[in-house]
Amino acid sequence: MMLKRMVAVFLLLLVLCMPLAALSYARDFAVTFGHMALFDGYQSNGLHGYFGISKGLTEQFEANIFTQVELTPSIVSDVQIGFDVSYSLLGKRWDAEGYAGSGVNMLASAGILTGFHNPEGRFAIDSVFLRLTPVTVGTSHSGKRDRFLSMGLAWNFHDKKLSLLWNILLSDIYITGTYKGVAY
Amino acid sequence: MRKNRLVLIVIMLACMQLSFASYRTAGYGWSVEGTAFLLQPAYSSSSGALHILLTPFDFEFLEPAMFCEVRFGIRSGSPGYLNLTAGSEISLFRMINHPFGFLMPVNKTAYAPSFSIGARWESHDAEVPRLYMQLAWLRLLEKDAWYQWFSPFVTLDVRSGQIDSWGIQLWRFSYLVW
Repeated sequence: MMLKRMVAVFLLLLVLCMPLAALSYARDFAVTFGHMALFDGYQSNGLHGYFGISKGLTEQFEANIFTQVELTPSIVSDVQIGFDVSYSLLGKRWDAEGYAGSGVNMLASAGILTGFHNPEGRFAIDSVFLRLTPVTVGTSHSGKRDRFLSMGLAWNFHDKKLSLLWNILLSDIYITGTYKGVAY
Repeated sequence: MRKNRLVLIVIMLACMQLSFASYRTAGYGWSVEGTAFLLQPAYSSSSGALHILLTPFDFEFLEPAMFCEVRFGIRSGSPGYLNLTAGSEISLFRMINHPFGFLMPVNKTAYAPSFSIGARWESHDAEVPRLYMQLAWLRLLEKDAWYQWFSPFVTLDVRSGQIDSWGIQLWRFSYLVW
């Protein structure tokens, strides 16, 4: 039942993103994986993985849909699904001409987290968050971008509590929008 | 015990200085992993580690590399030293034409899965080392850097012969700089 609801939310977020993607003129699309931690009292001592997709919207905006999954000690015992919009602070992340944007950048992100991080343990929207990624290296043009040491704050509606969230490293592997699709 | 570990690290550093090969044969790196203890779940942790690496040979098959790794992380909500691991990682083979090039799209890589075996001294029970085994199924080699992702591992308690812990190394990056 819970799994169905999570899949439904993920699909709903995906559908909601489609108009954004359709309106976007950035052609880049990536799959993302990496590490995440949220110190809100619901996560265990274990390791959580971040898996998602990233779609460029404009030269400086992008949208991310992701899931944060517990890998150890109990695989998939804690799952959150999230959505955020990120803005590149150090210039273009993608260029309409097909050239690389800024190879080193910073990202400011705002988004929501859904999951079971509430006292009732029911599937719901848990938190809103703001996140700053101080360094990204790479672009869609080169096919890969690494986001280092992202840190943010999440506000849990249910507990009315502010918590630290962070990602040591997130890697974006670009499927489209790379140099391979550019005609010179 | 501490003296033994220091001796081990000193020997590895000395070996690095003695390597005269034309290619880079030693380096360092970092990794992130999560560990789940089966009998003592309270010791489960997420952690980061620094390691040094020595790879004196250049075999196409079964190339061994020695490593020593010190790990720090969060256990029961408290950060601190977790364990020390020393062992050998053996590249099973190398393949230049492989389907994982998209993971490191800038440079040419070789696909080289490896099997690691070693000893791990846990901070909560350092008397007897655990037997550490890892399979790096997604491991790419550049000329001067090695990358691996999603590598499962287990440790065995040599006293009882039972699995003590298991885990996943989310990534491990090594840079051959010497």
